Amino acid sequence: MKKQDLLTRRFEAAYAACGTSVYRLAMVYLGCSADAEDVTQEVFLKLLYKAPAFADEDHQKRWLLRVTANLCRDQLKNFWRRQTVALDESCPVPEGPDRAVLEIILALPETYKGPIHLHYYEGYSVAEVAEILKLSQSAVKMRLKRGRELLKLELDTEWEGSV
Amino acid sequence: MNTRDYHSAMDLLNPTPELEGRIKGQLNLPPRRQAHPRRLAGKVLVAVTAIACTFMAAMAVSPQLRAAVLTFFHLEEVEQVPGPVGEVPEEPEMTQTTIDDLVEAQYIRLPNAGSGYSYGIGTLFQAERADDGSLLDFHYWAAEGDQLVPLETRTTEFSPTWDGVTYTDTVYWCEYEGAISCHCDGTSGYASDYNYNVTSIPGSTDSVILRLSQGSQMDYRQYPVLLDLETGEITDLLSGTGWEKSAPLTDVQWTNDLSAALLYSDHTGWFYCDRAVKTTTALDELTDLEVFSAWFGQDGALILLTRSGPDGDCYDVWTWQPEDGQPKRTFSHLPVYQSRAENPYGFQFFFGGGRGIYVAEDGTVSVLDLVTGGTSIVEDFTLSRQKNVTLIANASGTKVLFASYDSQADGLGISSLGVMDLERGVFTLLDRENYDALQEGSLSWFDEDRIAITAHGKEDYNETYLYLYRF
Repeated sequence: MKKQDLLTRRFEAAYAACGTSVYRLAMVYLGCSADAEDVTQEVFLKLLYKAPAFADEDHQKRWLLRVTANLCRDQLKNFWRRQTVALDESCPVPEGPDRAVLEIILALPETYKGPIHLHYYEGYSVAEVAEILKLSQSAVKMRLKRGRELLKLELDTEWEGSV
Repeated sequence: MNTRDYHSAMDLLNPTPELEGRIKGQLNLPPRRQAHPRRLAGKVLVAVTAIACTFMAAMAVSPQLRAAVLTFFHLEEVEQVPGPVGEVPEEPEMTQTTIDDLVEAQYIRLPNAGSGYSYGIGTLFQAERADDGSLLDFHYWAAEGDQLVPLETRTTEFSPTWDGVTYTDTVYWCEYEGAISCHCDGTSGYASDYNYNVTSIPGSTDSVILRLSQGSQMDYRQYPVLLDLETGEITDLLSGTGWEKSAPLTDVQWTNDLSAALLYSDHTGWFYCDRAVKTTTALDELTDLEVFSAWFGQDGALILLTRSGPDGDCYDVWTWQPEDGQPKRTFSHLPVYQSRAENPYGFQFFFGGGRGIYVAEDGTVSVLDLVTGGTSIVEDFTLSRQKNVTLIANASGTKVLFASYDSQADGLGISSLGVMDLERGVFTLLDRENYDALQEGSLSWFDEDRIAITAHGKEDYNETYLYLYRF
């Protein structure tokens, strides 16, 4: 099989498994679908050309999310480290309760977005979030607590006492 | 809000179905050429803008340069690039060293990611922000010797109205060695339909250009005004010049004395605006050329590019003095350098100060003086075809930064760094090691003499570093 075919197959498998997760994390950080798609593209190109060997699919997903977070934070730095973003007009989510929720999420300061999303949406433990974002576990716990307060996030039963 | 609300809202966010195909399309390109079309356009724009900025600056062309040969010095000592320190300082901190008795390196740790430097002006800055991202205060420093010297930050408020939008904000600025460093956030992306920014004017310490813009993509348009830093007074620079025929403006370049401007529109092309006699005329009409691109050279002369060759894939370079009317061709049929081509050679556009680089088919490198048509060859040096390189002139065009990259590195991976000093006739090259310990993000001129590399920690993006080099 040609090298190009192998690359394409690897990409298809990884994109099917993690493409949406990468895009959603980028949206949380950037709030603009075009920017989020740019980052998604860059993340998968890095996967194909620069990624280390992975132990399993979950390892690969954690790596992809880590690169996504890093690229997004890099982009935000270029915008003079703006702390919040607004939901872009091109976002396909119509006006209504879900859009209102998204707008609140995107209004969070950048510091809290990654921990909140990875823990409460992607379901990673505090230790895993710490590994993905290269933070200490106590920093993750602090950011989850403060992020929850800012979001006025009420925990469902499954999350009670998780942090 | 509860976590179910979070899940429900987030589940509605999905990438467009076309994205997967778009990324697949990129897999067929070599890694350095891959880019989203939207971003690629931005990169080209950045490169063109960089050229435009440097071309705008007045350049003293020394007659000796035309016949000069650049002597190549490859330093024996290799720089050991400092790795991450792991803690973020409250204020910038600097250490200094000299490499091979020739290159002075200043390694600066910046307080946080809201800090950086002003391009070409020689100052560092740090922004203090509230939790909501709003700007509370701004601090400037100068890197002098082994000291970081705090500079006085001043503010000017403004509130002009253009095309139905009132732009109200504050510019933070300082004066250092006869130049203004200035910063204004603009809308920071909060508003999708308008924005603004400020840029300093070479040689001016009392005013800056305030660029107002509206729309985006195909609808984008801008308008320049002058902001008096002492009074906040706004002056309409294009009023009465007939600029409207070039509207909507997408780019404006100025002479340093603001007596003339090059107006560019994606829709209408290039125009020359003479503020003294209040006229605006298409460059094609003035020069009888089909102008592809234009910049200001020295003394108000223009440097023009036109397409040439049977397939229109080469360029001719012209100079044109607005007073005498006849354009003069300085170079003909220059092929464009394609670093990824199998046999790369040709003219490098991404180069300013009224000069260009020409890489011959055998890899030898020459500096082209686009104004006089003179060339200077770099002795005993050939460009490796395997390497990606960057060449950028300083604002006055007297020195050229050279960098080559390690394509395996996470960031830029600058594996060697050098300066072609066109006045002294030397090209000094320094090899670097441990450059991949940090993620290098940008490379440019810090001021007339020093090169700046910015980087951040791979583990913690809040660790920001600025490394300065004087050759």
